[in-house]
Amino acid sequence: MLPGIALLLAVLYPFLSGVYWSFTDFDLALGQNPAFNGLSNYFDAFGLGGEGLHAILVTFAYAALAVMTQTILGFGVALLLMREGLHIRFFRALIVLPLLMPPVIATMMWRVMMTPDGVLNYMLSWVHLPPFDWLGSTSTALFSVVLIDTWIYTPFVILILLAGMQSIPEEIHEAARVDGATYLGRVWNLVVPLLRPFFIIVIVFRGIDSLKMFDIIYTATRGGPINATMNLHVQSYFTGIRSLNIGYSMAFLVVLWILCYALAFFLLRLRRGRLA
Amino acid sequence: MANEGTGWRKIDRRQFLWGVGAGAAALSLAGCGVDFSQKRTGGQNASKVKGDFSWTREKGKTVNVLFAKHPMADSFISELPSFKEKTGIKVAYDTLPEEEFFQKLRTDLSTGEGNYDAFMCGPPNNWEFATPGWSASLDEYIENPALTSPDYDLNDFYPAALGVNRWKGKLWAIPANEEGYALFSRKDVLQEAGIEAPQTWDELIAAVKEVDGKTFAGKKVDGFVARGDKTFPTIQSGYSTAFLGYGATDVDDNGKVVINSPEGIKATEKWAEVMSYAPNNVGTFTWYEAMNHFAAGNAAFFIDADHMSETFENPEASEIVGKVNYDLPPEGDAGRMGNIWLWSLGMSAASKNNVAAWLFLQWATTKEQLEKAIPKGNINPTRQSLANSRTMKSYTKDWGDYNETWQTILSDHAAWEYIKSPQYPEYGDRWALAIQEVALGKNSAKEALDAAAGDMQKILDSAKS
Repeated sequence: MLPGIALLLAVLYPFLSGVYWSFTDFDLALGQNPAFNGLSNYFDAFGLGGEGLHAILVTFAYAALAVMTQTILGFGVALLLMREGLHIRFFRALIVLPLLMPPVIATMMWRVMMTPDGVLNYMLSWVHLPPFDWLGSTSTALFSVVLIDTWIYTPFVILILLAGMQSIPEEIHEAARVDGATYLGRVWNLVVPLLRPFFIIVIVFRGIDSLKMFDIIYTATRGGPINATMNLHVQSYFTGIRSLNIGYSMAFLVVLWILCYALAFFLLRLRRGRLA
Repeated sequence: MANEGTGWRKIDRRQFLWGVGAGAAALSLAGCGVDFSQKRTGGQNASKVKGDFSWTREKGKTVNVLFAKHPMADSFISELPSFKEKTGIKVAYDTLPEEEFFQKLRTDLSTGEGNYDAFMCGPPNNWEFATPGWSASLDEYIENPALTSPDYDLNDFYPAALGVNRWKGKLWAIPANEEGYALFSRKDVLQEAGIEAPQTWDELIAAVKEVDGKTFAGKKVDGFVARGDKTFPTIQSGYSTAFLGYGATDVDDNGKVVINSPEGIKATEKWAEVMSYAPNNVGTFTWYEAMNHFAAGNAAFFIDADHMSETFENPEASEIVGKVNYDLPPEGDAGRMGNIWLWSLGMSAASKNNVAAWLFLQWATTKEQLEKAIPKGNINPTRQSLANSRTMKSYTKDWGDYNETWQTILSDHAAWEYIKSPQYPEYGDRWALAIQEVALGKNSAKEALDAAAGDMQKILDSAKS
């Protein structure tokens, strides 16, 4: 039991310290001891005029866009990879490559490709489209960053859903075929319902990862232009690590933790309910 | 209920988790009583060291230094064997990219561990590190003849450079590399377009408009480029030449943030106007992207650190070698003015090897070492005696008027004019965000600066409470 207690303490101690600091005026730059200031940080951050509400909105928008795009795209590609053949085996191996690349490196690569004179705009010129302002405009930056996230993490979705598809017994497909079900009918009425637990796993993992996304956004835009991609995690970095205002920064992180916990709690409960 | 075998009370999972959670919470609260205001205590008391000055006084000791990746750091590192030979002190060092460097430095200093005895630092770090007592003031070392060589000559440093590192009457770091802000323009573009080098902001705006989007030397150029990122270096580099040139000030004598004064608004509007001819993604440009954009021949005008000449005149990094005019910043209603940036060497207040660390700082900033660093790319020198030295003249001989321009900027048009506050990074970031809003056309100068001034005032006030 002692190792268990030690482990729990090791996890809970820093976490609870962080929560406590979110109720203090802890600012490293001032060299003063933190003093309890109640909910001041939360009111400042998430009240009117604070950065918090906008950051929550960006956090949700980013996570929703990323998870939806990757789930739909991942499902489609996984279906294609269920076919047989030598080339399919080659593609199955190829598809995991983005996952093996450190996200910061991958993002820097995309950042170069997304410059006004970059390769993406050059490719658009092949089809006579005007250059696109990928990361420089407040109206497009969020989508561009989600695009980078999608390139890196869709393979994860594909791997999970492919494993799920491979676990569906061939006899069930056979029976459906005998009953005259079309390919699309089988996908919709058979594969999708049977993959439900796998979809939940994908949404839990990708959802939590996207809610607390830092490296891709920070590398691509540092939360800009203006605050167009400033999610809770990047905001807390700016206030905590850059400005050394630890108490205020922790308020953002505690709210982020609550969002992640709520998502995981809700989805895992849903999964347990379905399985039972 | 007692366990029959052991006689212990049986606890269920829920009780166990509650117990551990409560224990951790109690520990956390107890841990939060750590004294963050404690005074750092290092090694020897510098003012009490007696005897004659000797470079070998601390022979056998090791000094740990943290550097950011920079030509200045490279030039010192390459000379470390001669430091060891001269003093018998070993230097162990880490070099990190700028962003990671600041994170590691702040972490080390805030814990008071004193893992690093000495470090590179920029101007805002003077106030940021001095306020909580993380860095050591250097006066008692300089004033003690037992610790400072008689030929060190502190007065040889540019007064503007020493002035930046002096705060609350004390000197917090020794300047070793200086940058002022110059207007760069392409000679070939000006000649082909038939325009004179602009001298005022209005002339610059007209010239930028004239050449924007046209093709020169086979490339379609942007009229202008500068840093546009939403962090504080943006407001203290190119933008500062407009803001200060129009006579604006960030904080008045009563401590009120007044960036939204009529002068501030006018300067910001002028800045936004030239920035509207910068590339679309200029909002992501730090110094690095802006410099490379200009060096690749993609822009006609650029305002930034004068010593970027180093890159522009390097055939391996530039397509515009020999094509750049180095000019003073444009003239506004109040004349020509710009901010200043220094890379300096400072010392941790928690250093256990403080005297050895001081000997390293002193050695690195002697005239001899700073002169040796010039051909290794550590320009501009911070000692006046080196500005017109044979080494500096020979290093910059093919760079047109460069050697005169940077000296004029430093002696007549550069100073740290913004507030010196430990909250400067947060304060400056908020200001830069407003400038980005205006430069990207998302807000008017007045509205953006009004909102920023309110927030910046709150940031400054929080330091007083």
